[in-house]
Amino acid sequence: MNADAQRYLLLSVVALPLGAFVFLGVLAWWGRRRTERTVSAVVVSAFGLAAASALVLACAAAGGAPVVTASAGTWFEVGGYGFHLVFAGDGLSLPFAALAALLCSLIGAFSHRYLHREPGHLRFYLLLALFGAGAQLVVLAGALECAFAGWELAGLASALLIAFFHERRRPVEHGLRAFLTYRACDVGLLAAVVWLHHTTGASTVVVAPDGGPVVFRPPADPRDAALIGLALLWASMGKAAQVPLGGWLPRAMEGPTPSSAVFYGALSVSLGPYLLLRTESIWAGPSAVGAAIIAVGALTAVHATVVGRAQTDIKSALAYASMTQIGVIMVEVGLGLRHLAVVHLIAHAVLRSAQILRSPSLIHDHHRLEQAIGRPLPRTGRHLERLVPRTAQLWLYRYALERGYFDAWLTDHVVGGLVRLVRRVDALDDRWARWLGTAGAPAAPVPVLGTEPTGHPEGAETASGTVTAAGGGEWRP
Amino acid sequence: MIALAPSLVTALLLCASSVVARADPHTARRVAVYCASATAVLSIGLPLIPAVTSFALRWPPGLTVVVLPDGTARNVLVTTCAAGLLVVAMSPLASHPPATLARILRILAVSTGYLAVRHAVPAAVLWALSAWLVWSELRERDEGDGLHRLFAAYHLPSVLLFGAGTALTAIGAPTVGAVAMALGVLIRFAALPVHGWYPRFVERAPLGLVVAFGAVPIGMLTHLDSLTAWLPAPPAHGLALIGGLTAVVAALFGVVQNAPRRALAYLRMSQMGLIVFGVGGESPISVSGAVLTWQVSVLALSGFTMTLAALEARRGPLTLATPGGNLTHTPQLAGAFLLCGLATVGFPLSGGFAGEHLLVHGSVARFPLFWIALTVAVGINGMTVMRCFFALFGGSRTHHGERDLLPVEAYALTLVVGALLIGGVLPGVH
Repeated sequence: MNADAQRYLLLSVVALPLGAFVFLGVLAWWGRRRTERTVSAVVVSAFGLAAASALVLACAAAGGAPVVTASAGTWFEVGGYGFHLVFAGDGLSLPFAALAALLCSLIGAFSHRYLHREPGHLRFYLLLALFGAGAQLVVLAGALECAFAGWELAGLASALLIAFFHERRRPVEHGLRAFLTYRACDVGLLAAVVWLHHTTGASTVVVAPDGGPVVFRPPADPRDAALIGLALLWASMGKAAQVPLGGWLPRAMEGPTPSSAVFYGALSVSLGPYLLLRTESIWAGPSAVGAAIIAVGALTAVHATVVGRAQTDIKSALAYASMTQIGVIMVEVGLGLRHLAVVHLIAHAVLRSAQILRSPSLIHDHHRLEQAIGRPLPRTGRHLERLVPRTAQLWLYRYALERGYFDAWLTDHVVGGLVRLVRRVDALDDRWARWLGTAGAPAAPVPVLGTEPTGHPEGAETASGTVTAAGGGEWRP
Repeated sequence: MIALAPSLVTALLLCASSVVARADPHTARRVAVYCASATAVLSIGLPLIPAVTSFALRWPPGLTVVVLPDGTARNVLVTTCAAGLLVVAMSPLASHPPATLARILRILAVSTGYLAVRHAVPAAVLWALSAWLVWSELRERDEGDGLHRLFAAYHLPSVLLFGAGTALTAIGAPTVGAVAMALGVLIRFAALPVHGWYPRFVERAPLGLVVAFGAVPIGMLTHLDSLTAWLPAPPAHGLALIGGLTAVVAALFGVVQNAPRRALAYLRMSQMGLIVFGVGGESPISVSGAVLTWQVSVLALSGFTMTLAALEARRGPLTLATPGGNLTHTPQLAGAFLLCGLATVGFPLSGGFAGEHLLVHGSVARFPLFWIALTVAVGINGMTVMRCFFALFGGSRTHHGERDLLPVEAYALTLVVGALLIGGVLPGVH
């Protein structure tokens, strides 16, 4: 296969899902109705073709073909600063791209029946295509800015799919929670992009001299490398649901099962470790970053395995199981066990995705099995109970029920304190504005022009809303 | 310099405003939309004719007459006309009677008037005129909340400072004059700590008026280039810092609001702060980023604001305290709200991405720590948009009976959303 064909194939892996999204998006905007079969066919075909392209390239790479890079031009450029649309296919990105496209294609085919006659059928496929395009942008990005664009798109699609059943309040609140976490962590990736570009003059990959995976050029000063590494770790923690930011993951299971399978079992949570693997050349020097990654991963693995054992519904248990495995993968990444981490990541994605897809029918089978044997199924994990002292068991159980108190701590103390302070200052600000407006004027009732009088100290019920952990830690008035 | 195309647009808007003021509400809306469409076609179509763009007449001596303004101002005309079309097409009839609609057209005419006559003295007069138009509308609507007094308390000093700055510059004291003008501009941009009028203004005034008044400083930005050129380095640095601080603080204030209009006010303040920061940053990258951000902001924030106005007109008082909408019955309205909001905060695949990216990147060298605060502000603004979307369009089974976009609204929003998405692919900065 010649180099041009390889480049076109590489570009098609990103372009096909993006094209499907644009096509469906234009249809949705104009309200043109298409049959469910057409909608799913567009998305499944796009991902199927993308998977085929990625597999061909992956096979070529396995056969010893050189790393493929493809440029789609410069998006914008001012002075010496340019945003280059560069994509890179190597031993790390191509297997992952093939897996992502294949899973999205399979999930698309599965969802055709699963979401049959669901009012949001088109919306689901639209968001699946957007997520797939975003994930491929992250995976194949040859410039960190491209990864950032894909990162944001994947996060948006994820949040909107958590809130897919938008007529209920809980999914909407959980979708918002996920988005807030993503956005808070995306700041880390943006900061890393800008700082890398500032310190090295470029944020595009270079092909390693030995023909190995493509790498980013690290900054000359190890302190800059450490800062960028920590920023990348912060970004990864949000997507990969690492402690203490992982509270959104079990809540994310409110979305449709197929999207939970592909997002929180497989791809979305894997993007965090993947980003760290891709940027390893930047942060591998300073030992502090590796240590921080190991610490975060280990803490998450321990926390999630303890909390997961107390979950009473299958999807939450699987969410914590995902969190545990991703934590372990983070430890592997931090230790520099690159190949093990990649194999673990791919194997986990495939198996967990299948488990989540299977989960709705599992309880039914569980009951049938119990009826067949005439008694409850024996409990597992007794060996852990024997190892842990009785008092510690009780403490751990309480810890697990409260999900490690992380959500309450974050919402009540970290975010809540800031929100209360800002609202008080805002109320003072509004009082000053009202005084300026009404000073010397006769008192009159304040009418409402299409809005409620919030933000006033008197309108306490809306102006002095607080953030509490009650009810799962949502934002509450 | 006199530019003919903005003059023609200004004349059209003024003529239409006098017709609109005397018509019944439906006719007024129709006339306003026709006029705004004509101005949009003019502003987009004329630059495509090479003979028009190269036309320049240097007569009478000392005066240059061109068809289109040059440089950045050319895009300002297009964005102002597009925002104007959006405002008149989406202003709810109940809160925007013909008199208000006519005033909006006049404010837009003031904005394009800036582009027609690129001179400091007319700029000062038009600056004062736009403030007076808004103040007179607020005074007519006076419902005891003292909004017009609050507005005057801030804008009278703003106009005086701007006028004094212009006079001082003309008599040979450009540095002092530039500082005075910058202070006037900061009040108009609702920068900290002279922002007190703005949240209340957005909460109480008709949203069409808010958008139109927001479009006026855009014309002023074309003069900001020269303003920053006259400003010595320390005040310019201070101007940028005030803008950046406004962006960060307003973002924080916006995300905690429970009233959508107040959240919108702080979102707009934060965006304006980012623009001031970029213009004052002096780096070519940050200035380009600021210009692009401002172009996108005009369209995206106008779309976001007017979809909020449309939703409010359909549903009544809105709150963000609890999710209480149902997007099933208003998918276009919800889609437009989300797309415009995301474009405002620089999401990928929208024009705002390029602008905010350049703005942050351009500030790294000059503001070694402050740029991180800016990235935080950009992130928080995204949270505000998403919180508004989820609260206003999700979380409820009940349908309040509101209908989706009217054809005229869909027409204007399609143009704006299309421009934002095309601008996302082709941001036009090279």
